[in-house]
Amino acid sequence: MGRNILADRAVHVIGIGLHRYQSATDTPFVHLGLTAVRAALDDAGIAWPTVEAAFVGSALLGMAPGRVMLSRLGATGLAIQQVENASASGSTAVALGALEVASGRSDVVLAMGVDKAEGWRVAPNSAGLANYEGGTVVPFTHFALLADDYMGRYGTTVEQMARVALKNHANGARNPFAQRQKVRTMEEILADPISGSFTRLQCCPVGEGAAAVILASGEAVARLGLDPKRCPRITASVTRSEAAYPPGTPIDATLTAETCRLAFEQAGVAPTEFDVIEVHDAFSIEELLYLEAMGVCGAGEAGPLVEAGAFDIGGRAAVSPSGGLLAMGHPLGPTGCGQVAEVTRQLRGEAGDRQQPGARLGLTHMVGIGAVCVVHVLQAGA
Amino acid sequence: MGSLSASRCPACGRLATPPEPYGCEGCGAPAGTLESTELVAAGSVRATAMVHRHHKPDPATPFTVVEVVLDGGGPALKGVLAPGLDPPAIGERVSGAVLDGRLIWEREG
Repeated sequence: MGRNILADRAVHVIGIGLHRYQSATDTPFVHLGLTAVRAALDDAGIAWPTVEAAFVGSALLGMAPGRVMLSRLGATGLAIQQVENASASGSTAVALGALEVASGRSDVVLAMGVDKAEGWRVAPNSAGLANYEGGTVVPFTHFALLADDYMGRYGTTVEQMARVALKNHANGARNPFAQRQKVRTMEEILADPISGSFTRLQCCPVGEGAAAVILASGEAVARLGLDPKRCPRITASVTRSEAAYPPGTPIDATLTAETCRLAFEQAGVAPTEFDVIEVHDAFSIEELLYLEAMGVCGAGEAGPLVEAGAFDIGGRAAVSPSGGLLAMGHPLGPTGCGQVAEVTRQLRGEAGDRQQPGARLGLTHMVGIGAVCVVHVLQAGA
Repeated sequence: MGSLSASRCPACGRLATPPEPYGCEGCGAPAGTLESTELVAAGSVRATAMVHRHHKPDPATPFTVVEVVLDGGGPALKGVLAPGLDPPAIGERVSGAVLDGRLIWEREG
């Protein structure tokens, strides 16, 4: 590993903004994106020309969504880069934005995600690689198989796994930017089977939306006269991809474990110290798998713990207080930026009725097709 | 019981099925150096999932996807349970055959 430049030059989140995640509409992506960016500028209390570079994450919009959108804030000539990294596109925009600031090349940077669920093109499907699945194993079945394996291994029950969705839907009901804003009963969660133990409400909705975060150096926070307490610091940013693990290795959990271990080393924190965790819970089982892979709890412990409320808001760590992908939604490009926005809100103490009391340390975690994994650690502003 | 054409990397031993066309994921050895081999399509069930929603008419729902750890090593393989069978238990023995590009599993024997 090279030098940790986030330790050399501090990178802070100074502004957050969102367009609500929602089912597909005719609204142009430009409107979605500008809504989020304008909100983030207002939140930071800075003017658009202050922003020196923009990283625009999207997976489905096609080429060049950045300038046609951002020029409508005034075409300042700033650096604009398109970022595509599947479900982790927004997280990767944050990672590149943080690098841009930490390197000293820019002082104030926009990282955003905007997407619309249309025109899916997935490169691995046209990579010239054969398999024996004949199109029968889509993501929800991939994870349903992992759930079956996991439940058999640890005796975790279908109801314990469903508790993840019950919790995250309840959190989403308190988030005005969530696609699903409805408290659900266990009966509703367990209705409408999709694949294996998964039901409709244990699978994330993929719609549209936008999320924006503005990053700045410590010098810029001071120069712009911002309140440092509202500017959490990004203390780790790690991106990894799936390695050639030995046969039988649980790929998804291993990739997350490795990426998080590097992030925790970079930030100098232990997995049990987090107050707030936004996890890639596209399917309910993932929250259990990844909390254990991260080391937040031991193998096989996550099911009983989620049942006991340990990961509720007010529990030992609030997991997916935004509602997570399950309830806030997963519009691809925005999702990772939305996680950083939620953790920032929590670390500022501005999360209202979904505030985790005393939140000081936060984690964001996304995985994407490939597979890739992107993790950030955020520390409350001082 | 069917056999599956596969490749084995002489440098690192990694197995791939279907055969790897580009280069070894284990060590990067070019595809031209990989050896052809065959794996027996038999092993034990790691997990199953009955699929209730599918975006295409084929296979008709519900169908069951079975993930199998092969006796001969290599990657765990996912395929469809032969129609009309009850889902096998975890650890149960199955054997498979490729039909129209799709791996179909059934109970051994």
